[in-house]
Amino acid sequence: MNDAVSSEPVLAVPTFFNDHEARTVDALAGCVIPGDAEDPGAREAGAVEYIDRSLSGAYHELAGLYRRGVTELDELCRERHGGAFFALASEQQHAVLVELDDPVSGAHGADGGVPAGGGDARQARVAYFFAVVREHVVQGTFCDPVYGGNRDAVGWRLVGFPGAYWGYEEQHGQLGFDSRQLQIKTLEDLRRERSGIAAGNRERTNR
Amino acid sequence: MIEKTDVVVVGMGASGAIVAQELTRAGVKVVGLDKGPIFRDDDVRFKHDELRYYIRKEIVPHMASDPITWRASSRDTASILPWAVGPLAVDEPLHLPPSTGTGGGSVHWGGASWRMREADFRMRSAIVERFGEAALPEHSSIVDWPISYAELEPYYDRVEWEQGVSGKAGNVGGEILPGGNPFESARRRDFPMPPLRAGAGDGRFVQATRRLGYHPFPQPAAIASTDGFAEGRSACTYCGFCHGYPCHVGAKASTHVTSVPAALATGNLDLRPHSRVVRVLRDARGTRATGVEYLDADGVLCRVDAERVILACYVLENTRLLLVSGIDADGNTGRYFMTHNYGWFTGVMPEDTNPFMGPLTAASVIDDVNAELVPDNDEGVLWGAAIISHSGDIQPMEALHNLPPHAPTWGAGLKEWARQSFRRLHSMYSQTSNFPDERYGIDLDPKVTDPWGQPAMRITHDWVDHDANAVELLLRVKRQIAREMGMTDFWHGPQRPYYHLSTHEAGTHRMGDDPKRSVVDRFGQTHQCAGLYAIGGGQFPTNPGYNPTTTIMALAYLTAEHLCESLGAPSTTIGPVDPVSA
Repeated sequence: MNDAVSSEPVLAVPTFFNDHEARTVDALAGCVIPGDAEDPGAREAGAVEYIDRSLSGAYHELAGLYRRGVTELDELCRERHGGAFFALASEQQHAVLVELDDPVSGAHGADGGVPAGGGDARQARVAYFFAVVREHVVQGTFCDPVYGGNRDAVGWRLVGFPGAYWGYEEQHGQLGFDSRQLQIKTLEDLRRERSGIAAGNRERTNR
Repeated sequence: MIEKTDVVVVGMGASGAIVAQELTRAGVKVVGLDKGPIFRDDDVRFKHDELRYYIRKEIVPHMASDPITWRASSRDTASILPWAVGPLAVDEPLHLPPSTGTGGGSVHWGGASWRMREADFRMRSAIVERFGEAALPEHSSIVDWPISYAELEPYYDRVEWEQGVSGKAGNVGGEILPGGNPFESARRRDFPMPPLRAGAGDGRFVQATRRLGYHPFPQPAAIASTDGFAEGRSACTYCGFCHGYPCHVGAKASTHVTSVPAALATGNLDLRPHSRVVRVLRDARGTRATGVEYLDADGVLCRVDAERVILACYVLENTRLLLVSGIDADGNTGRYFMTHNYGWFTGVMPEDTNPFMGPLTAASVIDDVNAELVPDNDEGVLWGAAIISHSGDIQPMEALHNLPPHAPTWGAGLKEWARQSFRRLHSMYSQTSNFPDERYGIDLDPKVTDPWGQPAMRITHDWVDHDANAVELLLRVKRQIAREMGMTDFWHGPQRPYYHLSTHEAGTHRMGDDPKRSVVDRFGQTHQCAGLYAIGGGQFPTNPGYNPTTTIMALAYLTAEHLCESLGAPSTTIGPVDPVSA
């Protein structure tokens, strides 16, 4: 598995992934919500960093699923297209994911664990792995940036979500109001804003 | 060490905190046990975090610590709730048991604050009058409640004026008032606060339903619409992180900001968080409750003796505790599990609606097709439900978990859908009645235990034809409204959903006057064991088409009044009240 030796690592300091895994999950993120510098998507949002931190923390019980998932996804890609997933051309990556997204693979909807699989158990497992990665890429694109994803709030900008607002004014609640006019606030912004208000209140009280 | 107190209340949620408040105000010493934490302002001030509360479900029980199993029928083997485990179980926290800790389910709730209607209290009679006895479905056990709307009306009034509900009356003392619900049962007075400011998409719902001949009105919400309702509680800020989240300004009537502080202020409440009750204790003959055993935060088994034991820890855990404590002499405990299918319906509007602003409940409702007003139909649907507009309280990840079936789940198509549609969503839902069914209920799982070795509860439930037909009947109305609203695309959840929990479970410790056919009496006291009460939605003999919490709270005020009388304590009630004239 020497596919990962040639270029800069995706994550400067991973907390769970090795460089190959980080690169693979980053490539998957780019397939789930594609983007570029002009119109950012999940890669630009740093979804892989969110997933890396989650796997060393809140989602540590999924470590094995990711480790095996990357390995088996690559096996499948080598058989189909002669290379690891992240090294494939984007059309080939797309073709692999279309194959995995086939409902027959049984990875859809609420679940109670890895599907047993019919004729091809590995195929079912990889399809399930992709469904989990897809979910985590969505989380890494739309979570608060404090979790390591949604860098520069690119996910919230994409959909016009202003983020962590203490509240909204009446004029914001009118039909047709363009929420993209509102300044985006993260939890950090909201805390700073409220601590300013609290400090202001104290000053007034002290006088 | 064995301690002695007057009353032990298990669960400091919607019902338990109200009972604790009323008893402690009357001078009764109460030990309050909750398996969750004590929530304080500092815990909830910056709750604007979809990942933490919605996706990772911080405040609801998890299957690792509080396992529940489910099977569709008694022929199947149950497994831990398949929709609630694994990395893809990330949708509605409402498809799990409600939040724990002080406030209980009233922390996560959206605040929909309904008085059930007169007919809801006499479901069997109303169905028989309209459709005939032969229409009652096979296996069902539909009954009238042992209490009428008129008897509960004073206690509904207390919920509205003491917990704080915003709304517009439609029927005061029999006079139909403009702007309210013309189908509501008579109330003695208006709400203490005006309705919340409705979300942007709601105006289209109101206009469309009026044009179609329905009668929209603002949904009653247990969320302060004005400042100054009570000490420490501010008006709603319309932040949009509402159902599934604690409120950051105390606007929502969560009992951790209403009744728990009031009870603590009396000095008579000994509140113990992280305390997990394992058993109700009884006297040698087994006919009188004497206390409870619980595991404290360190897992040490403790015992509290009390004159009265109040189980108020949600219908599910109440039922489990009754069963593990052997309160099942007539085999009625755990029977008749009921829940709600939400009938989720979502569409895209031509204009921006900004569905992430404001509470779920800041929206309108039509009651024209609720309960006994169900339209004539060929599918045998016997009971309707309110159709509720849902114009706020949707964050991006929630929206992306509810894609239309034709939208791509990944790739450029997903990105475009999110970019174009998220800001223009508008939803509707309804809560169709399950009927009590002799095949469905709760018992103890024969194999699965929690980490402390306590048996898990096992739910046996499936959606029956009537459930699916009722959902479909209301979907037809929703589609009609959606077209009239100008929705460009709309879709809906399944008629037979994958979930079997809705935070609206009901019925498994049914109240009734006949000890042979019910578990508790109208005050929530078990027929089998004096001094033991099981209160909450488990008391409901049927599960009407509204959110249950306000009725749970009203019943809690009734129970509290009865307890004060039976303990010889001066009740803080408004006294014997005349039923409001209809």
